[in-house]
Amino acid sequence: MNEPVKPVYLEEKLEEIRSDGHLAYRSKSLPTWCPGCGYFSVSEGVTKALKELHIPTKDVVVVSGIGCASRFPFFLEAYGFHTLHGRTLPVATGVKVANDALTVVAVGGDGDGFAIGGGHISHAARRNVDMTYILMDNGIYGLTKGQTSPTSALGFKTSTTPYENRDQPLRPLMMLLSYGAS
Amino acid sequence: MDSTDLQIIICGSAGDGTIAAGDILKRAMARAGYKVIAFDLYPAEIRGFGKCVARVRVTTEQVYSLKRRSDVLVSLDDSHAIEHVGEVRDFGAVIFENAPIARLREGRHMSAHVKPGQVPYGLAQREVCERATSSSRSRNIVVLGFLARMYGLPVAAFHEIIADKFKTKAPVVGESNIRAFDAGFEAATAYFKLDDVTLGPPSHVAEGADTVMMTGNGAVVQGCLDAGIGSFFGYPITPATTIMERLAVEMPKAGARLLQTEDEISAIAATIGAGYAGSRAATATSGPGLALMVEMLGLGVMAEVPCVIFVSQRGGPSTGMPTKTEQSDLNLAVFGGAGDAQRIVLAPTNVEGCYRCAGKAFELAEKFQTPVVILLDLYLSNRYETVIFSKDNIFEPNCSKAVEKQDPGQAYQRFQLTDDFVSPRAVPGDVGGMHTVTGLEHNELGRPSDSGEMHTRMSAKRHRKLEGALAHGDLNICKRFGDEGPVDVGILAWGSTFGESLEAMMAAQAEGIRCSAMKVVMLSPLPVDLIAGFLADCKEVLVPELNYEGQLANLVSGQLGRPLSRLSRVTGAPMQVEEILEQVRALAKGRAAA
Repeated sequence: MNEPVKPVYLEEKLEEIRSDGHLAYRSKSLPTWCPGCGYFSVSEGVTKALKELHIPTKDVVVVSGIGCASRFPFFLEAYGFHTLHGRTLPVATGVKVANDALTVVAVGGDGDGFAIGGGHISHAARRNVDMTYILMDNGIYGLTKGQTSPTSALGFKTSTTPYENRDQPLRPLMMLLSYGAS
Repeated sequence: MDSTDLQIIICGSAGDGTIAAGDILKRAMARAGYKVIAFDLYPAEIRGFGKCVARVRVTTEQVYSLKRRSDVLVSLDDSHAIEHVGEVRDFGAVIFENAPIARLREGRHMSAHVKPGQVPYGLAQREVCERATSSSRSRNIVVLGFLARMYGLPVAAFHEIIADKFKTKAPVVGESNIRAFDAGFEAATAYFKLDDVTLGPPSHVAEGADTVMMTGNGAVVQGCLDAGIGSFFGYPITPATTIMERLAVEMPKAGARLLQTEDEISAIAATIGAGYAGSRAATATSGPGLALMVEMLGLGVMAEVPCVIFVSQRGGPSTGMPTKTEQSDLNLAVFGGAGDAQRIVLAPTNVEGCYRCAGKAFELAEKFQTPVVILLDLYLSNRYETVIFSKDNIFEPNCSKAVEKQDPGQAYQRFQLTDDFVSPRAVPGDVGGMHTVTGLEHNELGRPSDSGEMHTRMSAKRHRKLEGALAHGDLNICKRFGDEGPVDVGILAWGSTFGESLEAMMAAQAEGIRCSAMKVVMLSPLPVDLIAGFLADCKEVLVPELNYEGQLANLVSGQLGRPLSRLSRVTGAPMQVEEILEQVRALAKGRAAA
């Protein structure tokens, strides 16, 4: 009755992963994220996308701010700039202005992008600079171990809102669409 | 008389055309081959009744500042000009409106204030202008015609400059202003010349492209362009805005890019991004903007990214006095930011220096992979000088330490520790140079590291690599003028105040005081050996500067442990030569004046 399930052998699976070539975009440093974190998948997605698009590693610049998500460039085999808290977008804009042959990817979290760096979003959107911004929104400050963020839910308890978060969370997509981001 | 030294003040209300008249005057005199230094004072508001003062000094010999005493005062509005009568020297001239349009209260007319010994020239400015142009708007041009006849100023040069100035307007505007000039010239034929102001022939005739009259900010722009600036990011702020405005015109023509960002933080962030990507990148701001930028400046130091920051200082703290000059951002420029973040800071002392420092800043930033701050101030940014440029481009197009070919298996070390502490630098797009830079302390590969040993070694690297900047070619980081050997009084000065210091030194020498003056152009890293050598020769040392605390004096005495006499002024105006001279005299006698 039961269809025989083809067993997955670790060695074979690894061989398959290695052979598609996207590992060339992975740096030798192992990610410092916690086990189970969604950022691993994002990193995997980015390396696969770069591979599919045949973008040479030497032409990729990943710019990040501060936070868990912003450790991203260290784990990619490309040029990287781990900048200051909230300043991802203006630094990435500068890189693109200086050399538009580069593929520029800006990376950050919700604290970096919507709190301290919130002021830059509208201007990056209206300028429509040719770059990709990956904002990993987990609704919490992770690197500093659990403080409230601009996208934390109402009533959420964190170390800085020990009773409850009383601030309305920001609605990122509505905001970005209204600024004309594409 | 062969040697000319003529200073004219024009004073009026905002809207009278005071600054425009001064502008035509200085351009015409420069066109005729004279050396010119000019500085205008104007209110923060564009219209209204604020006071405008244009001062123009015309000479045949090289001079370094404006004079305290002018030879001629032209009043376009007595209510403002009366308080400047005292600036006119004995036997100098005062030119004013002698047919006011309304009755004036007693004491409100210039004629009541001209001092004994000064020569009054009443001129019906309005009437002459109305007869020539059927409007009184060109009164400011009428007085220029009057000056031209009285002092034998070059009429042809004035005609050219006036035509030039109005060439974007309808032709009648230029023609009408030329008529106003000629009417003023004609009116002056009816006057006996009683004052002793004279103008000799120019010492040399300007040879087109070589002699240029420009402001400090204009010279900064020229320096940026000649050094091959690739990207500029800025946010408007007085008195630095004109740098960005001029670059916005010139950079696209040179294939370079300029972007007005949303704030100063983004301006320097993008500048650092562009510097990281290998472009010669700069931003320009004033003190309040620099205060916003220092966090990013620290990132530039840590990540070893070349970038250039022009800072034109104004009165502070906070919003302070936006249209007044001051030198109070030395501390911020040299020390601002978190941690031990040594950077290069240069402060040019004149307009030619603005050009040289601007271009050299890109070389230094690239060679030492660090932010370079150029400290100007409103007085230097806005004042006009005639500058002689060499026809050859004096700036190196590429000073970056290249990555040598490395083994395929070997990882590129962006922060490799080397003998001169400067690491070979790869930029995005270079094959095999992939690396990540960070504001975190890092190892040679650029990977985050917080080991005590690594932090010690990297801190030493970031500081000691700058030692090479002290020996960078074709740049006077520090220079002594005046008497050699032991002197009674040495003047140690920086920025725009050095011009006045040099004039004061020469005046002191003429009085028999042994005196020399040293300009400190590189404020960080400080050329301590050169300064120590100078101080050792001086019985007394005076440090004149436009800030309350004596920031250069603190910097130097902090590093050299020698007490210095300070002359600190925060009036919003340039330091007066006489004030410095008075202190020098007192110190030479063995005591400081109060």
